[in-house]
Amino acid sequence: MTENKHILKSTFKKHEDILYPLFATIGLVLIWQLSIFAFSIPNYLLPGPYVVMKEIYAQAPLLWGHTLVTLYETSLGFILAIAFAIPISVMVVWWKPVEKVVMPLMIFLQTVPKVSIAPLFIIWFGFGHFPKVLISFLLAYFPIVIEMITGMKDIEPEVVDLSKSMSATPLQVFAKIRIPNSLPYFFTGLKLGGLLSLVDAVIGEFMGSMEGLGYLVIYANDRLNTKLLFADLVVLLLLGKLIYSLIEWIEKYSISWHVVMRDKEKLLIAT
Amino acid sequence: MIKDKMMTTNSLSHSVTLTLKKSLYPIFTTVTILVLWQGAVSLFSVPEFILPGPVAIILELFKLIGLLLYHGWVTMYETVLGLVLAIILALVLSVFVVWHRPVEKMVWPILVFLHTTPKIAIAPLFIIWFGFGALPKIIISLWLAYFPVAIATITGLRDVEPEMIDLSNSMSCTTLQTFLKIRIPNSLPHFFSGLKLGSIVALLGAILGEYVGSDKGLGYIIDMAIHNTDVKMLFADVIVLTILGRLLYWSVCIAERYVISWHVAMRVDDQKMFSA
Repeated sequence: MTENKHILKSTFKKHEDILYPLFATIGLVLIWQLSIFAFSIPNYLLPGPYVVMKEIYAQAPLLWGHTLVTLYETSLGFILAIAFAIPISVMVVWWKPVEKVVMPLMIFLQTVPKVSIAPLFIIWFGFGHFPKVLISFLLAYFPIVIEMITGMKDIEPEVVDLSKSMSATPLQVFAKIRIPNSLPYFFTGLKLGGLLSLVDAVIGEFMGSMEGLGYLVIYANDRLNTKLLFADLVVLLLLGKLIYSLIEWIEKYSISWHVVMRDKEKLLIAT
Repeated sequence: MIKDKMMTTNSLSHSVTLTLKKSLYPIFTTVTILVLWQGAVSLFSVPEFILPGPVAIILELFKLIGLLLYHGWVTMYETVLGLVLAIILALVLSVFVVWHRPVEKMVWPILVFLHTTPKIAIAPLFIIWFGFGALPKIIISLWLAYFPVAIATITGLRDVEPEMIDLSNSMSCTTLQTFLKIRIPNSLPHFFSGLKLGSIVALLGAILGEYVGSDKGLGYIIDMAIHNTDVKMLFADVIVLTILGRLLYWSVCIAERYVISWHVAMRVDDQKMFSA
């Protein structure tokens, strides 16, 4: 009997990291559902988890279609941002005048709340996918560039001195020291940028669109269809998590050799 | 003596030229871009509802300054209130989480999960729940700013060097003493970096809340400008927003400098302060 208890306890200890949040989530969902029953809250104000699940199931084709649109806009904007961010940041670090010209501009542009530019893109480029891709691109671009530049410059001077004293060419310093050093920063930028590009594709869809999860939020909201709104939100949460986990997974496998990866907690702070 | 004085004047003038030289490039870039912008707009006679030139925008800004300041005040009020509430709630949660290990294990994964999702999509729902006044915007600001502040503070309170904890234990400190003298000071730089991010997203939340449903605030002005295709007004609005955002960010930076000027982290990146 005591042995059984002991085994139960040790299995609990082993899976503690999953079990605790699982219990907390189940508890929250139960409280949510029970309070809906207890206070008989109408569906248009706050639907219960059960109703939301049923709605997701019932509206699956609709949600799926809009998810594809949002995913398309987000990933296109994000990939464009990466494609532009890498050469720019390399150029900035490589060539001093470029840094002097580009950096102040970047810092200035970064301070503009870019969400307020979004409506302008709708005026300029209409209601199609393009303005959302552009907004996603613009928002994901800055964190990636800033992180990469920081990563390439944030090097112990001794390392550069050492490589110089061993007569390394600038190209070698770049390839062997600066680029490897910048990789963890790069991934931090990617995580931030990936999240921002999703958020801003959604905001772009808020502001003027006929498709996408952001449009669906506004559509459901205007009709007081809170069930659908919640179903949409759940899909958005999962999509955000999916993008984030995907980047984290790539990071884990591509730079597992890196010093920073051995101390994973620290990276979590940075994001 | 005289030579010494000469040296100081020399080094002073040297530092002045250095600052001038440093700001020369940014000023040059900005002026070039503005001139190109204005030139292109004048040359191709781009209609104002597509892209107004900088001169037209500045004139518009002066014309609308009263209106923009009033709406800016509303936005600022919502943002700051949301941010302050977020700080209070985040601090309460952080202390609670760090004090009780099981609570940390329950709350932390959920916090991190929600932090990495597009939280802003829920904004329209807050309009349904709380109406068109200032309250839903404050709550959206709070909702967005809460996560970065809470996560940073918890991290700061938790990730103390184990040696420090061992030391305080070996000197028979009580848990409360360890908390007050080691954990809280350690958490302050983290708290402020969370607050910097929080101040940005709080403003964003207020703007978006106003955009979705309101009759006041800079977000409402954006909505109005779009519906009238008044791009000049939109640009003027964006300028005011940018300045407000900077003001908020700088006040956090200044608060940080005053509150934790003694902290190791501040002495190290003293020069990084205003560059971000």
